[in-house]
Amino acid sequence: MKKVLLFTCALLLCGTVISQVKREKFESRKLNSTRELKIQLPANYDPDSDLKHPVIIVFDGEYLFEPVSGQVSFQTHFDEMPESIIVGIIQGKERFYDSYYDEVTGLPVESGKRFYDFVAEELIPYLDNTYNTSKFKVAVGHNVMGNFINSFLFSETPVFEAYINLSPDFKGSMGVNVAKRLDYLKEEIFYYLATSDGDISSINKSIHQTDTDIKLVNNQALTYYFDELKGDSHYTLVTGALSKAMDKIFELYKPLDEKEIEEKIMPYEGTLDDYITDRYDRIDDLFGIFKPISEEEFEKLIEVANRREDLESVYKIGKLANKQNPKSAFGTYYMALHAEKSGKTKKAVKLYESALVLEDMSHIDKDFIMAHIEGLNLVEDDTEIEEPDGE
Amino acid sequence: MLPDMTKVIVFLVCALTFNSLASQVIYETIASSKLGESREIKIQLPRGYDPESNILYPLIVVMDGDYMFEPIIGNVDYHSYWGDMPKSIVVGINQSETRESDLSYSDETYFPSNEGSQFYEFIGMELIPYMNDKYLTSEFRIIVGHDLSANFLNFYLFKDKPLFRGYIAFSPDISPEMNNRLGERLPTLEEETFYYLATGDNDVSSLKQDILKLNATFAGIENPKLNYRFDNFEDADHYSLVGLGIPKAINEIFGLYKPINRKEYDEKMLTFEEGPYEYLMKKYEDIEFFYGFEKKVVENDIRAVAAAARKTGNLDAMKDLSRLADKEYSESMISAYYAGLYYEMDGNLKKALQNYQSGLLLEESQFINKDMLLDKIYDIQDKN
Repeated sequence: MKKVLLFTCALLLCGTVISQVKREKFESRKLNSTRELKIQLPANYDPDSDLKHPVIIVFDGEYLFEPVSGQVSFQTHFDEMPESIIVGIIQGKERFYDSYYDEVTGLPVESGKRFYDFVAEELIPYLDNTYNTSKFKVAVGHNVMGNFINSFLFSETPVFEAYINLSPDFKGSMGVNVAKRLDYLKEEIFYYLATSDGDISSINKSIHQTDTDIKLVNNQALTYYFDELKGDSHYTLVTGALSKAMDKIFELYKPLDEKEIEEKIMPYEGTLDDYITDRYDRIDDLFGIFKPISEEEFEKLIEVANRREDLESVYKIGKLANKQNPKSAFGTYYMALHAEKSGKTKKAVKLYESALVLEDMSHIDKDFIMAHIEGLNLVEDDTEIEEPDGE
Repeated sequence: MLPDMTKVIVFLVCALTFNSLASQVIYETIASSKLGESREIKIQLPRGYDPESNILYPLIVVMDGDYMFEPIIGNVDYHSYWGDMPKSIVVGINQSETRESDLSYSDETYFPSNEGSQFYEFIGMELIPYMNDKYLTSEFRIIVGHDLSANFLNFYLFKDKPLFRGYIAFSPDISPEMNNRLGERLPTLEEETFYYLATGDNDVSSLKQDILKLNATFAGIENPKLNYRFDNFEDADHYSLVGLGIPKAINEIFGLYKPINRKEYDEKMLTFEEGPYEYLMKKYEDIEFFYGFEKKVVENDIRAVAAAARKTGNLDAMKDLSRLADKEYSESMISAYYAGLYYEMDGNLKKALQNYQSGLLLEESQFINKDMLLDKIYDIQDKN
C-alpha cells in the first residue's frame, strides 16, 4: 500500500478516442461471404471536409495492418506524407483461396479471381463512396499476397497507383509479365520491390530476376525502387522495407529540404514561383489532393531567392503568397521589399502600409513592418526622389 | 440525381464493431506529483492480454510518444506476431507541449535539473511503478527516444542499478560531457545491457558528427555485458531513419529470443553434444536468464528438435520431447503427434496409431492438422 500512496497518481480514463482502428464487416457478393476489415482514418478526419485522402489497402491485414498504420502515423506527424485512409483486409484461413493463381501465368483464377473482383469492384468503390478518398491508391502485399497485388497492374487502367511488394512470391511468369507491363504503362505508377539477404532463397532469386528485368524498363511513367535489406529474414524485412517504401513514394509531397534546395532550386532557370507552382501541381496531379504551400516554404523560397540575388522571384513569391493567403501580411511584405530594393520607395511605403492591416506571420509582425516604413520615410525625406508609380 | 445508388445497395456493408483478440490503444491521463501536473500516456497491451494470467511481459517506455508510439507499437505487434520478439507492453508519454523543458539539463553539470530532473523522476518513480502495479510487466524494460529524448535516455544509465536493460537512441542530440561519461560508465555495467544507436547519411549534420564520435566510444568498450549495435543508414534523414532503425533495434535486442532457424539448427542444435533436446532446454534457460521472463516453447522449436532427433536417431531426445509436448500442449494435436512420432521411432506401431487417432479430436496447430494425422494413420495401417 505504501508504494501506492507514495505517488498519488490519480488515474483518469479520459474519453479522447484518437484515431482508433475501426473494425467493419463487409458482406461481399463476389465472395459470397463476409470479410473483416480494419480501417484507420486520419486523426482529425472530417467527413464534411473537401480534403481528400489517399487510400492504402493492406492485404494480410491481420498482421500487416499495424506496422503500416504505425509508419503512416509517424510520417504524417511530420507532414512527410498526406494523411491517408488505411484499410486492412483480414484473410486468415481464406488466404490460400484468396491468393489462388494460375500455375502458368501467376494470375488469379477461380477463388483468386473472385477475391480480385471483390477488391476492385466492391471494396474500392465502397471506400470511394463512403470516405473522402483521393484517386491515389496504394496496395501493400507480402509473400504470396505480394504476387497477388501485381495482378492489379494488368487491368486496362491499373487499379492501384502504387505497389509495395514486400518479398513477393512471384508465381508462374508473373515477374516477367510485370516487367513487360511496366514497359508500356501510360499512367504514372510507383513500384517498390524488396527482398533481403536472409530471405527464402527461391523467393530472393526470383525477385532478383524481376529486378533485373524491371531495371531495363525505360518508361517515364514508372518510378521504381528496389531494396535488398541486410541481415533480415522473409519476415523481419517487412517493417524496414515498409518505411522505405512510404518514404520514397511520398518523396514529392515532403516539405522542401536541403537537398532539393541545393540541387534543384538554386540552379533553377526561371522565377521560383514557377518552380513551386509546378511542384505543387504535380502533388495535386499525382496524389489527387490539394496541398497549400506552407508559410515555412514561402520563407525558404525567399531565402533562396535572396541567395540567388533574384529580386524578381522575391516579388513573384510575394504575389503568389498573397494570392494563396490574401489575409496574411507575408505576400504584401515581400512585394514591398521588392519595391524597396528596386528603389521604388513610394510604392514600397504604400505596400508596407497595406501590409500593416493584415495578419501577422511569424517574424513579420506590425513592429517589424513599422520599422521598415520608418526607415523608408527617412530615406524619402533625405533624397526626395520621386518614383513613378507602377511597375 | 443520387450518385449510383444501385452500386451502394449492391453490397450491404454492416459496420459492426466486434470484439476480437486484436489490441486497441488505451489513452490515459496520469497525474504526477513529481511534475506537479498530469500527463497523457498511451498504452498498448499485447493481443490476447489476460490480466488474470501469470505471464509477465517486457515493458517498452517510449518518449516523444506523440509521434514515436505508433511506429513502435506497429513494429512490436508485427514482430511478436511472428514470434521474433516476445509480446510486450508499450507505454508512450506525450511531450509535444513540454518537450524542451522535460528533456532539459543543467548548463553547469550537464545532468537533468529542475524540470528535467522532475521528468526523470516521473518516469522512474511514478510511471514505471504505476505500470507495474496495473499491468503484468516483467523486470525487462526498454526505453526509446529520438533527438532530444534519445539523449535523455542515457541519463538512466548512470544509476547504480539502471532501470532499463535496453536503450534505443535514434539520432540523439547529445549533451556536453555525455560521450566522456558514457565512456567511463559503460565498462562498469554489470547487467546484460542492450544499446542501439542510429543515424543516417542525411541526418542533421551537427547531430551526426557527435553521434559518430559516440559510436567510436562505444566501439572501443570491452564489456561482454554490453550488447551494442550501430546503424548509419544510407539515403535516410533525421526522421526516416526511425522506421528503418526500429526493426534493427528489436532484432538486435531479441536475437536470442527468436525461434530456431535453419542456421541455428545446422550449426548449433545438430552439433550439440548432449543432443537436440538438451540444446532446447539450454536455449530456453538462457532466454529466461537473459531477459528475466519465461518463454513458452514454440511449436517451431519442437519441430526442430524432432527433426534433429530423427536425423541423428536419438530416441531419448524424442522421448523427452514427446513429454514436453504433452506438458505444454495437452489440448493440441501437437501432444498426440509427437507422442505418435516417438512410439513410431521406438517401433511400437500400435501405440503410435493410438496416439495419432486420439489426436484427431484435439485442436489443430500452426503446423499440424487432421490431414497430417490421417496420413500417419493410413501409413501405419498400410504397413500392417
